[in-house]
Amino acid sequence: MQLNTVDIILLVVILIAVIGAGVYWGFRKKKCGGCCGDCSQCRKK
Amino acid sequence: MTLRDLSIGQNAIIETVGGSGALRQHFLDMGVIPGAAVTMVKLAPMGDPMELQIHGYELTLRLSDAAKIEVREPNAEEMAAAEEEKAAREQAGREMIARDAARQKKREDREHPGLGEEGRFHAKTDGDPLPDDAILTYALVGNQNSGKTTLFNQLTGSNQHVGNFPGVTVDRKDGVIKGYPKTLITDLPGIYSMSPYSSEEIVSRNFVLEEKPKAIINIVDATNIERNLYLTMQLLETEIPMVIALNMMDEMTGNGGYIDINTMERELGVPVVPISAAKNWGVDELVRHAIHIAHYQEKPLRQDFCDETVNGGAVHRALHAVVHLIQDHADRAGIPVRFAASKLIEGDHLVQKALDLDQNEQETLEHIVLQMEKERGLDRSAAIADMRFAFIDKVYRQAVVRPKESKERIRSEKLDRILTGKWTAIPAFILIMGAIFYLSFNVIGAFLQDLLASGIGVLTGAVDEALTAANVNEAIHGLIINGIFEGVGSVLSFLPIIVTLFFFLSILEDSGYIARVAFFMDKILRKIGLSGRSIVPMLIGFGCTVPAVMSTRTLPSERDRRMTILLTPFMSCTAKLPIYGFFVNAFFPRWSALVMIGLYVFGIAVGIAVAALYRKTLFKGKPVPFVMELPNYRLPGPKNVGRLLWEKAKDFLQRAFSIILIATVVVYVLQSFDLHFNLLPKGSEGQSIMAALASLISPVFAPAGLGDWRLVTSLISGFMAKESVVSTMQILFADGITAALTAAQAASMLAFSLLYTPCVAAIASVKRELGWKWAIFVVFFQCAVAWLAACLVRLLSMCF
Repeated sequence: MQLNTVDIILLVVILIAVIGAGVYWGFRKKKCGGCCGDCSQCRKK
Repeated sequence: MTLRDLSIGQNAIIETVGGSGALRQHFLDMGVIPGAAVTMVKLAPMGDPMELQIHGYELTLRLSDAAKIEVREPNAEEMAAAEEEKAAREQAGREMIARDAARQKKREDREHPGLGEEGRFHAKTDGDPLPDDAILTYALVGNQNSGKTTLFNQLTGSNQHVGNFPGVTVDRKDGVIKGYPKTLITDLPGIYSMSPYSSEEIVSRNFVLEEKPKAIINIVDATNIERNLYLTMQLLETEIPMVIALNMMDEMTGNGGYIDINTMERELGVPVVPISAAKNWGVDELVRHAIHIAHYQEKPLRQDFCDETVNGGAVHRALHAVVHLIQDHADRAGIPVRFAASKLIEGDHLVQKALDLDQNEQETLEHIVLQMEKERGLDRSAAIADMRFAFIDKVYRQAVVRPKESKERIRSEKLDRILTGKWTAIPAFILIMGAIFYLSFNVIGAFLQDLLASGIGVLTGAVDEALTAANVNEAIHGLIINGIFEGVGSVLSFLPIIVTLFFFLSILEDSGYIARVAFFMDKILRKIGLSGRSIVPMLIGFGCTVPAVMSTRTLPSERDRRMTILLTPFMSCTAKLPIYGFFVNAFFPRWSALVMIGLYVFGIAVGIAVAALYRKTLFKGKPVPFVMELPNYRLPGPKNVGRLLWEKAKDFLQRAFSIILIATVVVYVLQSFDLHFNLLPKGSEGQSIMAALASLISPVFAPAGLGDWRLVTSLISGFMAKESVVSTMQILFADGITAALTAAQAASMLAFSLLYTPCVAAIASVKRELGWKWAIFVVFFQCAVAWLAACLVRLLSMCF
């Protein structure tokens, strides 16, 4: 697959977006202190 | 005779309260105590539950629970005495109002306790204030339907944050009071008591006792003051600085009622501020009082509500004896001693554990309580409840003039004649829900969805052109446009429908109608192990599983919530309609309406069968008691509704984007590359990683007649969004579906599509509410049920 500069930039952006989404998801999971609302840890009694 | 035996309109006096544990305590907390007068109002359309009037408000409970409460008819003397007392109170009330009016006319000053006001207890140079930079933390506590959310929104405006209490799925809202940046107010769940049974009650008391807010704002519904003050008394026992916000004063005074605020303040020992949260009356004065008492840590002047002259003083002596017995333990445990004593006598196991009394002390305690029970003639919980209500009655007589039957009450009764009438309740319900779905999915929601979709389409088109102009690689171009934009865009298109649905549902809930639906659907749902409240999420599930799962947060029981979430996937969502339409038009054009209706009915039938299975396996045990207040109908405030919609929309976007974005990219890559990661030309999807994976599992689908890898791939793509089943099939069956499949396979495909795993957005909602394990369970269980159904359909079609 031949990639030019724009392709590489776009791939990097997509990768960052996907990793960012994953980190955001993981971060919210960790940030449980009763205030995040998205933490599966909060469901454990 | 029991409550169950009362006929409509009949009055009675409660003799004994049966039941045990949480249910019994809940009865007592709601005012169902020996000696209380009740009136039977009505039965639900299906004969169960019943609605009765007690302490001036409406309460519903099941006939099986009502059978545990013994009552007797009042005799002639009691009825005469009640009439006399009513007349005397009315006279006293008129005199109270007249005296106040005369004073106001003469512009006379009244002696005012002045609690919580500057310069009365503390001049600016006196007192023991907290440092000026201390954050003043508040707990906002009150009954359900007392206007807590409205007050919270008035106090904080948009400065609030929604989250959860750890360990339980109970919403937590924190906010900063407008104009006072060094404050933090936490909206606690609506509760009737600080007993240790429901998660809301435990969360509230733990917050008050462990997080130790600097002050409490107790919101009390002035039109339902007797029941609301029950919680107030328990809060006063915690010795935390407190101000009472006496809400709905506009309704109280508008209907001829009157409250002597000064007397109430004097009797309760805390500032009492009359407000109307909906109209923003008195809120500024409330805030000033709240800031003052928190800053100066002015504790309630009174925690002792027992009277040594009432009923021989048995409860009074017992409480004070226990206070002395446990003083050191309470100090060590950090629990206010009066609160600990009354809870201990009630049999509160959490307080018992925290105090850690030794054997001797426990025996002494038990002897004290047994003696109290013997002298008072009531069991311990009833004795404490009775003590509280006796004090409330004393305050009520001195300070409150009951309004005439309010306009709101009269309006509610008129509406209830139709909305909960024996023959009209269910037709009205079908009509209302039908209108909501029609407006949400066809009119408003569809319009907004089309608008959003065109916007996304324009954006997609612009990006597409830009990528073409920039000579972007075809694979990356496809990933961005066909993968990310179309994948994320299709989920975004849910947003207007969800927001519109939530708009209507929040109006239904805030208006009080949902409580009525739970009331008359309870008997039907009990047969499948749920209570009436579960009907709402199930109805929403016919539209979309995502808001259905989110709406289960209103269910009070964790068991009911879990079971309802697991059943909502059986309610066929609208995203599956394109699949049904596609196959029905191609294979069953003459019976399209029958097949469509049949699919919905089949889904419900399977859901009922699974519910019966859950009842015997995963969710054994009795359904939660159904004891619920029926509030007056109210028009919800537009600001509140708007705020709620914004929160829901933001919440949905944040979560959907993170999950969908990742999933979209993964699926697209799998569809576009072969096993050696060579980019595949169009039309060669059969060699993709996705096809290879699908071929691995297509033998599993063979018994159901769905062994073609293209069908499996389409079904897998449906995991992203159900609509993509059809679009994937259109790509993979380029020569036309009727040429490739038989009617029997189409029927199996329909059955499988109806029942298999919901889309990733729905699974993400399940994961959010119940955790990963249950989310994975839903995926596999639904697929298993779908597979069985598809095999059955195939077998049946082979017979015909």
